[in-house]
Amino acid sequence: MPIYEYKGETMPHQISRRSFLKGGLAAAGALAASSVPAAAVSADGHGHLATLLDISKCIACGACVEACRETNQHKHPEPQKPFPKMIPARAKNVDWSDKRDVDDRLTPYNWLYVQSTYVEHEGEEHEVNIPRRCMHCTNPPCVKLCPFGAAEQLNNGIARISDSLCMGGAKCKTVCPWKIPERQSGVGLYLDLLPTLAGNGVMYKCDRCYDRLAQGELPACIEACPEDVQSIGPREDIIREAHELAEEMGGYVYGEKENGGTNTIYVSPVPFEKINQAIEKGKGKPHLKPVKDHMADGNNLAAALAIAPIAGIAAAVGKFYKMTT
Amino acid sequence: MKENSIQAKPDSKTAFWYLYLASVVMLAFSGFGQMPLYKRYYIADIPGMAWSADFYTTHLVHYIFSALLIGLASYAVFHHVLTRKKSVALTTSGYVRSVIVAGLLFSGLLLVTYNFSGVSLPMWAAATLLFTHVGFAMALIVAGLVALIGRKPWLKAI
Repeated sequence: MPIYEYKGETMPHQISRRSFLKGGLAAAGALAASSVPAAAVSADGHGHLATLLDISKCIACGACVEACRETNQHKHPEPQKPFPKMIPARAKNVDWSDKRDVDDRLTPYNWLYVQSTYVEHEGEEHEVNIPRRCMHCTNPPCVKLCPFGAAEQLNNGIARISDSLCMGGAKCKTVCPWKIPERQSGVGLYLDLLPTLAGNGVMYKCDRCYDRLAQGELPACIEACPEDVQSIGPREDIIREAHELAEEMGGYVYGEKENGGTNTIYVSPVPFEKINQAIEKGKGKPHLKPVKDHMADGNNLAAALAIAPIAGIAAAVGKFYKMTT
Repeated sequence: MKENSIQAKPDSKTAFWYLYLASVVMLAFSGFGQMPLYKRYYIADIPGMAWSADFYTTHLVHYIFSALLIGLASYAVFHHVLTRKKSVALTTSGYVRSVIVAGLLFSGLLLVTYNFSGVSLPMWAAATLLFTHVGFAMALIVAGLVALIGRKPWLKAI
């Protein structure tokens, strides 16, 4: 396993299930325990950990989906019924609690699913399977624009929603370029405030097993994958390795630039435009289109906020000068 | 005396007053629009108001009118210091509203900073900052209404 010094600590370039198992569980556990959290304070400016998904390896076995559901079961909602009557009626209760087994889309109980399709590229038909979940954007709109501060970006780049603070207004879903978070009504803080008039449950999505990472363990989907589809490591290493892999296979990269950059990098042997055309898209089934940086317009406009006081002061000085002369 | 006439007709009918009113009204509207209210409560269904349900648009509108308010606040402070500090002073209502506007701008600028890539806050800090900002906004609305009903000007002649 390639090792290098990282902010004074020894850590692996990246960790996959195979490398985790290779060194023996105990040794790998100790390594992961010392290394994964260390990456959470890495020095690339963000300290983000990213995942690399080589989708040429994915066979859609569903092990990652199953592992995610089992590992995160304790975080899944247990709603109180009957749900509060919503006013106005336009606000609808959303209930997935009787459909917990749905695994062909994202739901509050299914934070990861596998999109499968066939794509013809350069005269060859490719079976393409893509594990889909939150992209964990480097500047996540779901976190930055939540009006209640109910979401946070951890130092290691994980975007997570607090089920104790979230009101279920679904703004995070609206502003998410991939519409990832899913709502469950009948649970959360809104029940204690104005349940009929404000809020509508809690939004759920992949938190990349932040609690496991904090304990030095791999996210469940990475650990469970028998094909080593995913690996995790400091973002700059993952980006470099994604490009090396893409070059090796004559493939394509998705997630590096989308929405200003994400911490989920896909590498595919076929263009993502073709995959996007072929996959089933819609509710709970995200696209794979190019995505502009949604936070950029606002952040560019922030320059106007810096100029505004100068303009104000100039006007006051101008008026003073006019009066004195 | 000119300043006394300003006090008698408190800051009204000046370009500054209209711009301040426009910025405060639009900031309040776009600010509350950061919560998912306008679609749920049919505001966005009013012809010409569909934009109010687009969070990115209301976000930009909030930034634009924040720039206006910052410009006006800077102008007001420097204009006061340079030309009026010997003739007029803040009333109690004016002082309270100035402190609230300062708090609003400061917390708002922290939120602008938070929106940049590479800046993150613990959940408790982000929530505290957001609710502080909303608190200042509510306080300014209340202080503005009290001043309007009680006909309390910002300034008084010395």
